[in-house]
Amino acid sequence: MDFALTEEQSMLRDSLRRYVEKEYAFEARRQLIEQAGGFRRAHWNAYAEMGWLGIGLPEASGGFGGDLSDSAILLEEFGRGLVVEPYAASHIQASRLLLHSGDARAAELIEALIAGSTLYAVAHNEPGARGRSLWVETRAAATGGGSRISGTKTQVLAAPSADRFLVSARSEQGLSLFLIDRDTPGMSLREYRLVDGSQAADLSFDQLLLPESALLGAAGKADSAIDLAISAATIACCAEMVGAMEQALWITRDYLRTRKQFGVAIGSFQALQHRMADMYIALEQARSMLYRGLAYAEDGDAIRRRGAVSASKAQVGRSAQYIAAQAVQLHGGIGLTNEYCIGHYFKRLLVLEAAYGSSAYHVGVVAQQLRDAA
Amino acid sequence: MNFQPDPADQAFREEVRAFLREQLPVDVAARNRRGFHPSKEDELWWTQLLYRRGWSAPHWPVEYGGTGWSPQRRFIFEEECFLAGAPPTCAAGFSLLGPVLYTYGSDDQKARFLEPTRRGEIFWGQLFSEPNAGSDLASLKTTAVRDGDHYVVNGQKTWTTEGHYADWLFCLVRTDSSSKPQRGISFLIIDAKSPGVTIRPIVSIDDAHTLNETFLDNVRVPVANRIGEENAGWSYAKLLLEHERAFSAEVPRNKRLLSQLKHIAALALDGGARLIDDPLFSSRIAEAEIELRALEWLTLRALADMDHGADAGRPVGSVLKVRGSELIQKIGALIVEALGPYGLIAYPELDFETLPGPEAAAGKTADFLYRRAVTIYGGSNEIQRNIIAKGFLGL
Repeated sequence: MDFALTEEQSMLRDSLRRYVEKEYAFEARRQLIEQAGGFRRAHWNAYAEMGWLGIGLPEASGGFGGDLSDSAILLEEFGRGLVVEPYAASHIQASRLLLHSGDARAAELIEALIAGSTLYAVAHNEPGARGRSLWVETRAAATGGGSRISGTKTQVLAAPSADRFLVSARSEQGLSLFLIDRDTPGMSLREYRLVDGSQAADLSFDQLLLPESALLGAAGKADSAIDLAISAATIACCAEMVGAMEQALWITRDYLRTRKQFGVAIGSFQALQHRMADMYIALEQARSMLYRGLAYAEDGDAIRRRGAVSASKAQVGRSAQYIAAQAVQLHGGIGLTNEYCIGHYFKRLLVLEAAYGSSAYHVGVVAQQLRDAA
Repeated sequence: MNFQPDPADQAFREEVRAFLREQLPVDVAARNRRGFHPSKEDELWWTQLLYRRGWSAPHWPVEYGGTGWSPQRRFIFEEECFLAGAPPTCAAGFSLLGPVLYTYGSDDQKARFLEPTRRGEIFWGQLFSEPNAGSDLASLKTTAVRDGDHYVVNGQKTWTTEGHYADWLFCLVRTDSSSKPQRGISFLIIDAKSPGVTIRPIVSIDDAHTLNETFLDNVRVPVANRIGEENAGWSYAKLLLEHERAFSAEVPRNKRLLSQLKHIAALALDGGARLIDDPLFSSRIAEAEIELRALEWLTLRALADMDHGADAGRPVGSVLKVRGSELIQKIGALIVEALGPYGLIAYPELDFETLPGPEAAAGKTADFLYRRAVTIYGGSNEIQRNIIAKGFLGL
């Protein structure tokens, strides 16, 4: 085992950090959310130009090789800088769905994803899922060649900006994936903003007629692709959270060194020092479980993979809840203002903690596995 | 970055397992897994057996009889021995004294003590804490006054773990009370049979005797038994507290406790169903299991850093100590809870079979009670948090 970054990875991290610090500086980020609706296509194109959409994808499809641990470096930096564009969903999850779909067009579709010319939104999550990776009530019925789908997808990240949707639906044959262009008539989007400033929409389909070409891979055989994509995206999300909570910790540390009360820096109080120590311990636990998650995220043994991914998301989520809450608490009143950064870390971590299942859900998965094994 | 384990390490693990299967008697293993304190005979016998294989002091430098294993292999060895139920070896001798002796001892001292310790012929006791010097260890008051080629030592030491097993003691004494507290401390080794040494039992809340208080009354110690320079003992003691910090989470102990918890929760009935099938209780076990995984990977990161000679400056030892000790107590409490009525019986170490309850119950609550110590000793968890906050976070 080796936990150190390679020289190449360090260079990647440095260039990401420079970019994020510039493009997502506090005021720039505020404008991105308020004026550009939380997604800037120019940013996504810049990621493509810098090669960041090819990270961790096979060279055969135009990617740059490497694996999810390379992507984790990017996501940690995105987390650190509160990037709101949903890389975990529109890149990690979408690319894995295409990669594992078994569809003959997959390589070509991934090429467009890497080039940034197609922006995907993953329309899989449903109101009743709450983290269950294969919970799909949207129905698909075969109609001479094509399919008709009906149902509702919720919190589809980047939906207002996406070119195409990757939609899951269930038929008698099982779970299938469909590729739907955004201008397909009969599909309705209800757009909204999440509390962290990111954009999303609910999608409804009412007997939406799709041509045969919309089906991605074999009908009823998408379970494994969906599950693998969610595992990778969940760990990607963990990396983003680790970056965000680490930054929140250091921002809080700096504040404790400068804020004075009773004539001294409040960081000299042992009650606050011990709180900071506990936040640091929580961060180290989270980072360790991120690494463990990366070791198992693409494991072929589904039970082992799910157990490990859930353990990681549970720990990272718990650490995030603790660090985010204490970061605001230690800031006092200023932590509540929109004009200061720490509350935005709190909101981003709130959203990421819930993404792909809350920590409580994932503890439940680990508990179920241990009941099954006992 | 590479998160996959080294296949050669897996082969090494198998080698250790085979050794344990061959050499460790079933009754000794059962006794050690139960949770009562190990006996001196078991500890020395096992040390002698490891010595014959060349494995009694794996972490010492090769020139002093160490194995030359990577940190990862030392961890594997420790884990396999512990999980198999092997007796511990004398921690005071191997982990605390040994490194100070081979780093600062004279050639004569090394020759006299290192090899016999490794052979399992000397049992060591540690004399650091005093009734009024716990977390503030540097305020210790036991004095050593020069008288010709001897020191005359007077004072009281406490928490001498397994002191009643000890043949030799190592002791922090004040040799200069005029300078800063840390500056006037020396490091002596003392024959436990010296006149004036009195070791008395302290019975701990588990009803057992492993701790002691040690009285030193005009004990004459040859100056030749001082390690290193006079008044430099504090820095030596600090070195040994830093030593082996990657091991301070006690991952093997936590693993054993967790598997015992699962075993007991699968046997215990809760309103006619297995306790482990209760979603609430199994979620609490799951939370402990997740924390254990985090602890294990924190340890793997620390071992890799040691292996690469990299020190990121992170307060790894403190983080591991705090979370590892808290987890021992958390799992221990779950075990006691899972045992229900049998968690409250004061099982004696001998003849517990005649009392009610499952075989697994004996020793568990006693161990839980004794492990209240883990968040206190070795630098209390509050001291560790000070170290993180001041030393690393710069507060």
